Amino acid sequence: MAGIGFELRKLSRQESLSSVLSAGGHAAVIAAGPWLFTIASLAAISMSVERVVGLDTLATFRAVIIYAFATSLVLTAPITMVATRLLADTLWAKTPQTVRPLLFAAFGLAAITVAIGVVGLSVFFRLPAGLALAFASSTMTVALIWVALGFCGAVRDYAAVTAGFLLGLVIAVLGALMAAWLGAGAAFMVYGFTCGLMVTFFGLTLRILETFPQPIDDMSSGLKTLLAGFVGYRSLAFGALAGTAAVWVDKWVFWFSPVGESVTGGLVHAPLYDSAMFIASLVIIPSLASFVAKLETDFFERYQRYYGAIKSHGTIGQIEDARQRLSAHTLDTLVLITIAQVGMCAVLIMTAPMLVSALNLQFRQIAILRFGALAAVFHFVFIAATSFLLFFDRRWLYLGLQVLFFALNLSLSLVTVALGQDYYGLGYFLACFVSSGLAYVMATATFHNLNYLTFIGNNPSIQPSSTTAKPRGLFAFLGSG
Amino acid sequence: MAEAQWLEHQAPTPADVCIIVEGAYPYVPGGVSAWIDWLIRTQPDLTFCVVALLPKPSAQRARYLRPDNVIGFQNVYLQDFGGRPIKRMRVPDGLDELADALSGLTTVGGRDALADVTRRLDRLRGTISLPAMYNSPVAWRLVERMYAIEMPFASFLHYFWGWRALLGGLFAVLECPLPRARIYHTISTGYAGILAARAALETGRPAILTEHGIYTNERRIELLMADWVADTVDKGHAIDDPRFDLRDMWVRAFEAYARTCYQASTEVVTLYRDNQRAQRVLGADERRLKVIANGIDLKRFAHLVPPPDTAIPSIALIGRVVPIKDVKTYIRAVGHLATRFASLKAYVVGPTDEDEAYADECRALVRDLRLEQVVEFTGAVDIVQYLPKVHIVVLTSLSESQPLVVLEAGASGLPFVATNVGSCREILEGRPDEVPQLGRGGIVTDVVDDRAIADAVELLLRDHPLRHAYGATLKKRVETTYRSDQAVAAYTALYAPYLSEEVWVVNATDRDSRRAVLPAAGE
Repeated sequence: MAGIGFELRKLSRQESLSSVLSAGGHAAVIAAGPWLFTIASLAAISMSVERVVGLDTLATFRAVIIYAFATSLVLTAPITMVATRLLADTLWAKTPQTVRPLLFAAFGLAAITVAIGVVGLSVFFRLPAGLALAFASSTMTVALIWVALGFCGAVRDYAAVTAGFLLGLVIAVLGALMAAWLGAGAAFMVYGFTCGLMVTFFGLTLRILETFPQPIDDMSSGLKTLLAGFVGYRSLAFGALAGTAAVWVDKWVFWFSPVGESVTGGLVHAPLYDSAMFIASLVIIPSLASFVAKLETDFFERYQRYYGAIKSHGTIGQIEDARQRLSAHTLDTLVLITIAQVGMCAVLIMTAPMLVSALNLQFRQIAILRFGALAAVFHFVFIAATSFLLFFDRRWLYLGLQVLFFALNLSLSLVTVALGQDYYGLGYFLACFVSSGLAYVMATATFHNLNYLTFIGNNPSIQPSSTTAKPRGLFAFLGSG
Repeated sequence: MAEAQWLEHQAPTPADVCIIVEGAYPYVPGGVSAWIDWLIRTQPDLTFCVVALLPKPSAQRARYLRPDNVIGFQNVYLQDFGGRPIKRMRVPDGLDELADALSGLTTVGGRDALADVTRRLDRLRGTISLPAMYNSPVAWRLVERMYAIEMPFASFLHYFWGWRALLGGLFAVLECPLPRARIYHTISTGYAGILAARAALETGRPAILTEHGIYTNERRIELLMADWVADTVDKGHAIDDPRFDLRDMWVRAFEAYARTCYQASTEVVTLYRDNQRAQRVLGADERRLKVIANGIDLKRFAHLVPPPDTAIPSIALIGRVVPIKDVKTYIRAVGHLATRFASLKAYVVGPTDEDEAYADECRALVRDLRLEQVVEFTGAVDIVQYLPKVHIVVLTSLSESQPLVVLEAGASGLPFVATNVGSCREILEGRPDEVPQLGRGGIVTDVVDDRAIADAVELLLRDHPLRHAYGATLKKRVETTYRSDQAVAAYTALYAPYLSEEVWVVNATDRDSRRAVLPAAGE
């Protein structure tokens, strides 16, 4: 009896399509969200403490907090991103007992990474020990928050996240104010602030532990999974690193430019640029919020319907129908939200002079504020478009766009610093403009080619077998060489 | 070491015969592999090369020593899809025509359909790499169009994977390097058959097919037993619903491949006449059909003597303990017989390690029927030791082609009780055109009919003269029709006319024109 030349049975195992679930896409949004919290909390502190303490102390405090947020955000972004993705895989595989080990492994890794970063920065800026310790404590706490936040995002409990942050923020502001009133100095203001952050951290962590009550039987498994995840999802890790660094790199350029100032203690910042940009980027919040809301409802429903059409053995006509519905609706939504964003931007641009005087800013910050407002429109498009790429598991494309955004923001900001004051903010705007355009094109192409990508182009079941390295005459025969 | 001998290498000169074999020799032991080994060794004056078709590159161990006259060897992987998906590429013109041609080849088949596909592939050569055929927008274009033509109402998910597996094998055999040989001899239809057909088209040399079991039937059974192939179209009660499901797609493709192979083969050989019905149904040309039965070496069995009539009545089933041999029916038949005879011995002669779970079930059945004293599992042993111990040999298989064990029992003078599968009836009762008509050499029963099998065995065990007569008849028939040297001579004769022809297309990439002279065999 002639043996069959191939194994029919094996085919059945290939039916699994991409296991990608929504968490990947949410992670992108979540990754942008924290940066807004940063600004919100700083604005709150600045406005409330300004009269109590001297400008010097306030500047030092603010710089430490900015550094804490920036450092922790950039350093933990790869960890958070990979852990979040692994969490999504875990939830998909229905193995909730692996959630806690993963969470604690991510906490541990984030703490170690941040510790190294903080020591490095403290040495670099020659921070006095007291301030360095305060810097370390706040950075560590914020870092753990980012990790917890990623997990909360994956379980999609936005209410808990918001509540946790609001409560923490109120306590943080009160803590900082208390220290200020007591005249304890910048370091203690930081400690006071950190108390609030800790409340946020514990709140978020409790929420996660409550959702996943399964006890840990093997602590080291989480770390192993996480480290393996860095190999498997290295594109995500680098993408997150590039993405978060990109958001900060224009600020860093200005800190070390002639407009940068040293605060007592040694940290540098650039209030001229920073404060205008922070205010401008606040206008992105409503857009992001409505974007997340849309993702949760309309998009997610159509997204599942599309994969449902495939998995429930639809014809290609049915699959294509679902794809068109998903594609058209999503792109329409994106355009609508962007238009609203443009409206807010226009208001901000027109009211910039009034804002500047109301907030006690400098007159020359009007232009920066306007560029910032314009940039926010495109930054929103960039965040939305790249998060779609993650929804469809186009990780390498995501990485490429984030790296591009980083490179553009870095180089164009350097150019604008060289060009002079009139151009401050233009670099960030152009970086957002170009990157978002490209990201939008890529997202559109992804929706357009979704059937091809799902079945062939991006199908994890279609990967080269490891044993194919052997050169084969027949490839050359068809001309591939 | 057998493995070292089977490193891939190109034959230095064109081989006389290129053996094309799917999923068997030299890696998988069994009837077909043993037969190929026999064929090559019994034609020592000819040189052979072997093309082994396998699913994927893997650590396959060769199970046969390489005969000295095998001068070339090559593996072809049917489900090896090459590199990473290509995200963007220009889709060249002519793809729709290729899709149509591929649809024709995989749904209807035929020599012309194959020629059409190779012509279109030739035209695209140089613009598309082979991996791109499965892993690029080109693949998407092909699958979309073929789906629309073939089964637009079926599950696309299923179609896609089916398409990929089907075309994976097809492109592999259409684009693999073709060893040079005077004769392309395929041992089945299927992908091996397509490769032989392609060789015939490309080189102008003859393709020969020897079919043991009917490939399309075997695949059909496999697909029916495959519970993973969900019936993707609810056909309800409509009698002629034009919609196909995945199973239909596979069966249709295998039939189309068989049709192509039958049309392209100069000789269509099988082991026994019954197989020819299936070959005719799929369009094999009557004039090319031949039967060459397997033969055995009589010397091994001629000296064996059946046990005396006074010995304890003894029977044996000789074969691997696997479901296809239906050993359970044999055990049930023994259960009936145990109530009819005061003492009885029933052997199961064959390895039990191939399907341990099934062997355990068989042993459990023996316990349930309280046959521990009657049934004995011998494991893998030399059957020559057991043939002299039994009066009758029994075969309860659900499927066979031409089981050698029937011939071996016959050669040692034993009658046989076998189910009506493969060529069992032909061997036991004689072909209609047998001259002279020798008569019965055993009894044929239906499959899974344990009572009929028990009745047949009982008849032969009690009627000593009848048993001796059947044994003598079967021995006579084996000696006249199923001798190894007859099969050897038949293949020598089959090959002979094609070895002297001096036509050879020298360059496969220039398929239609350039022809050169190939040295005749033996030079």
